[in-house]
Amino acid sequence: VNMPGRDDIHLLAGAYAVNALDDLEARRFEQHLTACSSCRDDVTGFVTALGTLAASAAELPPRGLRATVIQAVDQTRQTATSVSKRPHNQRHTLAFFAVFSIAACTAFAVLFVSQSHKNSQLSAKASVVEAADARTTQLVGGAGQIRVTYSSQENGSVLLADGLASAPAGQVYELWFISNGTPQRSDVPVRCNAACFDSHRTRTGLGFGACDYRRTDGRK
Amino acid sequence: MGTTSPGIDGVKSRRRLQLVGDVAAPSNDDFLVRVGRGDREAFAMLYDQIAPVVYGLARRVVRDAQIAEDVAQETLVEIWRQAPRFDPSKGRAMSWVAVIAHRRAVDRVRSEQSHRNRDVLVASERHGSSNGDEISAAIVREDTRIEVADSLACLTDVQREAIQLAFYDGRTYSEVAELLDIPVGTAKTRIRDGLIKLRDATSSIGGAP
Repeated sequence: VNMPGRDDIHLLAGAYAVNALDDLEARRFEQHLTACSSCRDDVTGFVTALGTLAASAAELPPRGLRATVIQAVDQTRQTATSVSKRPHNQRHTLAFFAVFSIAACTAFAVLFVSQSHKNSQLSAKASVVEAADARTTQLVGGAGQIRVTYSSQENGSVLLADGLASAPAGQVYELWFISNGTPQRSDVPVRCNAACFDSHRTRTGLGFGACDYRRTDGRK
Repeated sequence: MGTTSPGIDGVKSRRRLQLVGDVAAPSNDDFLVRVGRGDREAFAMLYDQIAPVVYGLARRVVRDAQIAEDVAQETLVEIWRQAPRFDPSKGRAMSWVAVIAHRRAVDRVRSEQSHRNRDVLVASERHGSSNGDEISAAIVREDTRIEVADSLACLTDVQREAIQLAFYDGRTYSEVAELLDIPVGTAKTRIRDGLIKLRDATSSIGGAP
């Protein structure tokens, strides 16, 4: 067990923020926080970085989880706003909130809006991929290959461009759907190594063999 | 941001404009405030926004899909329970959620059982999964990879390594030191310096006009 001396306890703010202290040290550090405003500021700043790191780990939850959670919530009472007693294992988290609440951090608004936007995209993609009628096809061209999963039920397609060469500087890829012989350009620019979602583009009756992607100047 | 430059710059500015446009829509903060007043409908909407983060984080930390699902379930119910305490003037919903989710996952992984299980799972994960699952996973991976790379790019290799072990693997800094064969003081400093850089990078992105 490593007992920090008085001199280096400030260095623990980072480890504390990522829950990398053992229980004993965490308790000591929380005590220190009550008296050290610079460590409180550090922890507050680190928590927002932690939000970003957490958001970066986003993954599709199992399908059944939603119903289970909603059902559990139906049978769970919320805590009152001011609560004095709490279970032991929540000690860290709650101390953390206290620290976190010391400073508001509005600078991160845009970042988390981006995350929430991403997650709704994620749900849209998930519903296409998980649809009963979802089909996946692979398109191969000079620039590499892409995979397209589409569903008429969900009225959308998901494009996975993980096998595509990088577009030359200043250019992006476009995806064209051919519907009844009429080419239509997808509104979604195709980024290399990214998956994108396109609503209202399924064209399942036509097959994606007729799709094409090509380099453009990226203007819209 | 009225750039007319084509190509990559054009894509970026479109993306940012779109994000700014989203600000008007109800945010996670709004949903969480409503949840705090006992609004179950708002909770269902909040679930759709935060469940991928809560589950993904649990999965990174505990590895085992079944345990991660349990942890995610506990965390999400906990978020419902504690929602009355959320104050949007004091921090963003996603940070609030991340703190609860990470703590829960770390508590779980520090039990011996989870440590055993996740070692087994690293091996079994290498075997194939069904096509649909594989594509779902690939979509999420591809989607998040760029952002992860963006946010971790500012770190030195040794800082990144330390942050990854501490945050995504749920290790204590003493364990980080042992795993990397470095003094505990060095592990402590790398985690802290890495977080300082991440914090500064985050605020420079978020604070841009």
